[in-house]
Amino acid sequence: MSASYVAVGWNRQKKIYDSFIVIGCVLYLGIFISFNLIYNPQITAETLMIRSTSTLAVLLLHIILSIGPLCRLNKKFLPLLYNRRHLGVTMFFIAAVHSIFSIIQFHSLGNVSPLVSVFTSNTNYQSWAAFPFQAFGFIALIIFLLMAITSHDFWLHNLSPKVWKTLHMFVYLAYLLIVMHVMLGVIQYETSPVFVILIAVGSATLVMLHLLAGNKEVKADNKKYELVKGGFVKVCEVQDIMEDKARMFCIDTERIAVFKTQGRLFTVNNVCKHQNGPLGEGKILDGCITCPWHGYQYLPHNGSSPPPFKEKVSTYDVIIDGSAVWVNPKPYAEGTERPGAVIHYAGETKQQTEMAAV
Amino acid sequence: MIKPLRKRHLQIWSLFLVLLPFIIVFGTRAVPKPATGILLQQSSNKWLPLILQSADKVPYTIHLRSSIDTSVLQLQWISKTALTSPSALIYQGYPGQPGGQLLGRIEAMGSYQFPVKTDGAGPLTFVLYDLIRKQNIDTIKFDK
Repeated sequence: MSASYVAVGWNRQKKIYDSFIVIGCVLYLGIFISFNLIYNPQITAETLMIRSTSTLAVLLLHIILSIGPLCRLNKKFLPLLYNRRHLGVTMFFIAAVHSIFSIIQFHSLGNVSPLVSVFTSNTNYQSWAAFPFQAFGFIALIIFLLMAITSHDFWLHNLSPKVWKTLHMFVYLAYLLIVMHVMLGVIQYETSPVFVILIAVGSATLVMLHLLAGNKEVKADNKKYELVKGGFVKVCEVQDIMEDKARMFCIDTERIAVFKTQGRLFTVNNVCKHQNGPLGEGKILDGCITCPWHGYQYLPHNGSSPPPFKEKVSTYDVIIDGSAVWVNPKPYAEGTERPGAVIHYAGETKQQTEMAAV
Repeated sequence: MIKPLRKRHLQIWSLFLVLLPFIIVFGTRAVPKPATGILLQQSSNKWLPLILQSADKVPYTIHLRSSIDTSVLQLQWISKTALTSPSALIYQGYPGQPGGQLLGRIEAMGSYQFPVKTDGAGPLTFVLYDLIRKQNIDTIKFDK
């Protein structure tokens, strides 16, 4: 979270993470190139560059696409999500190197522009085996380019989260195009079954992770809350919520996060204004609800970001009856202050409880 | 993530559950029959002793070789410079046509040799084929 735009939002954690990305990529390229030179010494430098960068980009794409569902299945993966954008931009640069070398190698010596040649040199659209697979890779690269250049928060704010998110959902189309690029092109050229096995295992893993995570979320969204009292819905018991953390409930159209902190319960809309991150999966840090995705913060009692920030989320009424937590799903305007509900612990008098809460 | 977006993610990956195996299976089934020799091979001393016929072009020389008793034929391809088509394959017969047989791949400079079938009628035809552009680059014919 920053009050002004900076080119790259590096902090200590991101620098460590980026170091791992660079070391990992260099190691991969080194190992790939070494093995190729040992087992296939006549290979040309251009071909080696095309192959090493292509396999690395595909590997990184699979890692990137698995981070989202992994985080929804297990919160321990959240640090990867916090740093995912740098990994995405890295993947784009590696894919771009692969594309540039491929276009020069395969299309630069023709009598038409190399970019035109990518689309016109082969027009066998009616054949699986002879399909012009390079066009798939090129279109995927354009999608990655658009994603990389709009990955900065400047574009997120100026395009609006809805438009930005829609644009970045095109990564799934890009993934489909990459699978077609490999299956209809690369493996028609390379007879090794390794490529097929890797793509099959990668695709199966991604599909499995996304369906598992998606079903888990749908199950949570479809849970029915039947006990209704004066517009309030019983959601859980006070002890179900851990201190400085929250539980989320999808009572009406969107999830509501109920936070427990300093002897009170507060309810806010679960959707972060930055990138629609799940606030209820975050925790209270320095007295603020902190989004687990990119660290955007909101005050629990009014859903407003602390000055100088201006983001606001809706707040809701919450009451405690005995040990039961009741939430009214009717939202207040974003940034509206609500008192929350004071928690009465067993053995405490009402006066002691309110003193503790203050 | 908002509820409609969660739903859309699930819909997309449910669709991928069908689409991805379809692409992988059909892509694998479309792989051409394996080459008769090693696809990318380069060796200096495995060619047969007799040269029956030759064709000399600017970027490459091609020899039709045979064993002493001429019962076994071999195509020796010598690339004098790197080909302008880096994705060049060599076929006996015409690619995609009946009897067309992928022999192997030509890449860097050097000598390549491929076994030649002798069971067909007519001249022995070899086609240098650009895999990316799906075009015949050159056709070389040797009389039997």
